[in-house]
Amino acid sequence: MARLAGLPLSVRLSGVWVLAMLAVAILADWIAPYDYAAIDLRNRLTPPIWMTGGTWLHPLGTDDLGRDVLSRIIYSVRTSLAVALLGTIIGAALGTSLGFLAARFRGWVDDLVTMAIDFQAALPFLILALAALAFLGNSLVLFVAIMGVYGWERYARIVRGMAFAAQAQGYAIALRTLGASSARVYFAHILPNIASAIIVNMTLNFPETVLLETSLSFLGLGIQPPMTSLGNMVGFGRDYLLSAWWIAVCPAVVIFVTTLAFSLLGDWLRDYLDPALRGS
Amino acid sequence: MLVFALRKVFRALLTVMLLVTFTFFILRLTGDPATSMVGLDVPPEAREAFRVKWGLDRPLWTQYLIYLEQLAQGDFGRSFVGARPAWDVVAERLPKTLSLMGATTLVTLLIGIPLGVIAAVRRGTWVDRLAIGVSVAGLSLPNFVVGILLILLFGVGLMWLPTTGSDTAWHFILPVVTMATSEAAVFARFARSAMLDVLNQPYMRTAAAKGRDRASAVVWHALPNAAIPLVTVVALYLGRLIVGAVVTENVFAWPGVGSLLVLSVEHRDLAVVQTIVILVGITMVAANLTVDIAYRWLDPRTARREGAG
Repeated sequence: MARLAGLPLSVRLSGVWVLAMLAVAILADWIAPYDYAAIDLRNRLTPPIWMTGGTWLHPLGTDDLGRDVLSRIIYSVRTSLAVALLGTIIGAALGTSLGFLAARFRGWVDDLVTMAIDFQAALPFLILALAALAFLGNSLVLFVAIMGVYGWERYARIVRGMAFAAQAQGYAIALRTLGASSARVYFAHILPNIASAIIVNMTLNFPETVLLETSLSFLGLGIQPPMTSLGNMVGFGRDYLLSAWWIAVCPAVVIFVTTLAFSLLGDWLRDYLDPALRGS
Repeated sequence: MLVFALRKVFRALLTVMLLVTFTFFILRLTGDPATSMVGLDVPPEAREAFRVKWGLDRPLWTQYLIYLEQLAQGDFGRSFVGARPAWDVVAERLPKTLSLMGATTLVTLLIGIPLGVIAAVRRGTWVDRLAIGVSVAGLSLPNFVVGILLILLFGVGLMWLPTTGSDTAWHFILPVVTMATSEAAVFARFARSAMLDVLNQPYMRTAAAKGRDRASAVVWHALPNAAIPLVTVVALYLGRLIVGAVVTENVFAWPGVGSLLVLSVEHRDLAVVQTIVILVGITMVAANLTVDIAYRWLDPRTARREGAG
């Protein structure tokens, strides 16, 4: 069981990497050596620095249009993290609200929410996301909305269960007797009591949202050019695996390390905040 | 048991109805089918004729009933590409996807379960930590990243294996390894925790007291008991497998339903997308239903634990 004092090395490294990625996302405009869309046709397909022909002008090489791979990765990290963060927050808000609604009104409202949870949990989300993109056409707003819907049922299930339990506790009964409104009881009093479970679920949901976003972008159905995301960089780089592998491999490595770091942190946070939830 | 099964079947049918209704309304809400089918550049009379022909001039609920009737007869509408029945377009690619999934399942079980069992038996040792480490890494690696790296190593670098198409047995290797990496990680995790629950049971102590050696006690007593909770993972696994196939087929240009789905989303070939979504939905609902009933049958204790509800 990990405690703050004796953090495992893997968790420390994950923390450092996550902070570094957050810094990269926030400071992208200052640290990126080039604009991510700047085309330089005289320096097309330059290899990275450690290969013959590489130059410090483009440490990770350039792509088929001479765009700097490092700069594109920096901006891609910003896009991918921003979309995943937004999606995670929307999902948490949506799931929590529906969980509260089910617990507050019970009866047919509860039945409806439970049915929607089962329905959502029964279908692979990527398939639903693809269907939504096919039916409604691709736009950034829709794409972020899809990321937001992803995982809502897990928050709803947790919050519904915990809110049912909380209602029966002394403080909730006392508040209601004092005449507090439902919204006040749920959002000002029950929410802080179940916040740690929601936060744990958010950290576990976040890397999965990153994976969903990058997978859809890789398939060419997510973030559209001229915007750049880690997934669509790998997708476009796929055509150059023979001649310029770095275009695909550099962002692929960033995706792997980032989701790994978030997963390790999430697992640790779950053990730390709630030993009762700990799986073996 | 019968009441339980019937109630589950009813719930399953309800879910399928919900899905079918959902796709119908989404499809109708996203624009006039007449306009998207015949285009804007035809005269209004032609569009009107199209509407009458396909029953689009009637009230929505009549259209809904017609739609249900067509679905019941296996008519999923027509693909925009070549105006072929959408079901035929999907069905002809189904064997390719199913063979990929079957091979992946075999590899997943052969790697994932032994890995989880060994980790549980050697709990706390370096073997356990290695197995956990490998499974966390496997879960964090998206299919397309694994696929790209494998293509680079075995296709481009060593030139040992083909990277596109599905003609020979060799073509199976890279896509199957790609999909099995993350699935085996999931199975190893579940197998490990299921085994850990079982290893401390009194009957394991009894087996040891009888002088039965550890390995055969694990295989004959622990494994069958640990297999029961693993049944619940089947539906979850199937969902992951379907998603994995969609991405992996696209990485390796595998001519299955997954690459058809992405192609159809790109072209907004709605009839085909709808057919695949309904097919996946029915598969998942059937899998969940089978798991629920099989679990109750395999482990009657769940009935007592749940009580009347």
